[in-house]
Amino acid sequence: MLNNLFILSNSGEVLIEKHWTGKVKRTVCELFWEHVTKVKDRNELNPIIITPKYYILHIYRYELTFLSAISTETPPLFVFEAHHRITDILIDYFSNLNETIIRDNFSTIYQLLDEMIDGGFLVQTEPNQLKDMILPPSLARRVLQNVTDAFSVSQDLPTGVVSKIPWRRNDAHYVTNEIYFDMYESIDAIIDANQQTVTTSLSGEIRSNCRLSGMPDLTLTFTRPSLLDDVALHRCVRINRFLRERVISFVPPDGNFKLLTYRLGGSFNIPIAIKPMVSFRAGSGRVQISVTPRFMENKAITNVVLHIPFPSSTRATSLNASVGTIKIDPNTQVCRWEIGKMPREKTPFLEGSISLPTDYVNDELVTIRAEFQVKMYSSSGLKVDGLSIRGVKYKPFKGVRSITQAGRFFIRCTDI
Amino acid sequence: INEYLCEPLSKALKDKDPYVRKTAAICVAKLYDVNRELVEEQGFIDQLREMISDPNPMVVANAVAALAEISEASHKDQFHMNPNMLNKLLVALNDCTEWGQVFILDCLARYEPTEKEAEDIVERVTPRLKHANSAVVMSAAKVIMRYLDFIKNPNLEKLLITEKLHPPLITLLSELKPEIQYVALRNINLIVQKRPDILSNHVRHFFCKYNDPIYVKMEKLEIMVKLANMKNIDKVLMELKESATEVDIEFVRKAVLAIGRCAIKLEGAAEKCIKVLLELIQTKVNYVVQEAIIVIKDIFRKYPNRYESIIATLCENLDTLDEPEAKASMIWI
Repeated sequence: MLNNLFILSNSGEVLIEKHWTGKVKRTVCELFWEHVTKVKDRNELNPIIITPKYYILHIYRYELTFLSAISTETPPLFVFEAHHRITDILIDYFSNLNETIIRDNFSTIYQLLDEMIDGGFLVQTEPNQLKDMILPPSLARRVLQNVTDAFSVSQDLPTGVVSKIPWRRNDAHYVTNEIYFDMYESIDAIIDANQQTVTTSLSGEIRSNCRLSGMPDLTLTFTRPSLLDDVALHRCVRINRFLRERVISFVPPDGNFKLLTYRLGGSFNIPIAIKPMVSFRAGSGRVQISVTPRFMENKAITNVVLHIPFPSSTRATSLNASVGTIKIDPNTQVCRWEIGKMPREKTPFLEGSISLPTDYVNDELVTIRAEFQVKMYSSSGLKVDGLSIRGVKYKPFKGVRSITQAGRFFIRCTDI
Repeated sequence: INEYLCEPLSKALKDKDPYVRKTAAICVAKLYDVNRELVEEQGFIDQLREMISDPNPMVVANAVAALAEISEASHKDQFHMNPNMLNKLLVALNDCTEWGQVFILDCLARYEPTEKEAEDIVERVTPRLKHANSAVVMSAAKVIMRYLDFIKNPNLEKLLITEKLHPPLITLLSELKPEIQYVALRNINLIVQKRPDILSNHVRHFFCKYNDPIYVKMEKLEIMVKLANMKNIDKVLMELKESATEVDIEFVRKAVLAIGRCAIKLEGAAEKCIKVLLELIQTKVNYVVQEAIIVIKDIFRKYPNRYESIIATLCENLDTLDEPEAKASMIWI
């Protein structure tokens, strides 16, 4: 039950206020903002704040706060998923989200909130259906609205509103029928300085861009279906068929959507190895970091960036990198070493010294965060085997590509 | 005006068009908010119960949600759960929207099944653990946790505990949205208290990532202590030691406290824990030393006359103690 929604700007001003049941006073936002002023970093504020009368649940995205004050027993994840869904729909409509966009489009936003939620119940959250009912803003429509009395709400109900397949509209039509699948694999890892992995996990995501006419029924099969055990499937996927046969059988929504996410434990290839040697003492510090590729004979590792946090009391630095550029953020003292594409012949090597105050005490651990990307490669070995399509008369173009990248990838350095 | 509503509402609940029916279902809940007696007199709640067998999934979802709302407001079960109603709800579970699924699952969680019903329902609910919506996953996990008490078949019980429940919970932790991680962790805290076996081999998923928000890290520490056992204590101790060198003071204090709690929980590991605590005291960081002394006092209380050799090391740090609790602990020692 979503009783109400407040959208607050980055300064605590109420941009949108919508009540579906009950009447919660606006003062609840002031109460919330008191908590905001008490934390240094906005992201560290507990998403659930308990006050005598309400539970205040909020998410913080795009520098905006989406807040609900709940007074009856409700699953908290229900509220958060509702907030995220609303945010996703707004992004779908306006391509971006910030205070200005909210102010410029507040009437569309109120109409959307009215359609999506009735009496606190979430009734319509499918983007394609909402777009048929409340037309997204465009220049032509804006001009028309200003000049005439034309509504931006359509007069008829969209066709798929009460069907069993509400996520797809009936009348999709394309001249060239194509469907693309993107497999993103993110490697999360904590590695200690001896190259031992403390913990690793791989989270994968298959996104799709579907430009197919009519109502196609697709079945996606994989080369190693046993890898797909721990999954979270889009609501269009037939779960029971997946459990029986390990195939993804679905009627796709139109446009861009996230088909499924999966998670793998166990062992898989980590494309780069980072050897950090760090020593911070009173007066000065030394740092030596090398980056080497692993298992990648013929694939290029690109977008390699290392974030090295130096102690906040660092005075000056003198660093040299054999490959790439170094930039130090003066506010946070985080050094950003941008290597870009891993070279074949040279090994990227960063070394140098920093000067620290003479009373510096080494009590902080240094943890390096790494970013990288390998195109046309999936670390887990999961590959799409085939895509069969039923229910339509045409033969569509099918494309698949995969990318492995660093997720939350951390290397801990111990002192030398 | 409300009385004039009754006639049209009653017709709308039986209308041919499912869009009308689904909106009428919500109207009943709204009317209940305003005038309870009217809704009860006119038999609208009975009509809502019948709508659970409606052929259209959106109508079913709204009928279930409306009944759940009315049950909550009246503090009475309005579903009148019986095997027939149970079956209707399970059929609806597959077809209705994800938001309706949350309401149905929560309704199932409140029901007390027989052993046979529990097995059937768990079989129908387990696929929901693979849904993309985290609220559906959590509600499904709640049903299974509740129903585990009613299941007597040891094989099924073992399957659920060791295989089916932990993957979706860990997936919720890998979410990039910290609010969802936080709620998942709070629920996992409860799950682990009741049935630690579900996650006892998966402690490493609770190790703190560097840029987790502080509220996520604190919950992870709590759970790490609850999952610590003799098999994983070495890894856990290493992780707690790393945590104790972080920047946030509250977090460091909690990590030091966690090391002490592990020592008290696992007698066989107490010596290792004390070793780590002594290493942390050597760092001479003020709040670390004080917290360590407080927790060592508790270790002495649990294991008297065993580790007295370390008292000399503790005494070297008498000057750093300025908090009352730390001073009191030292005096007790």
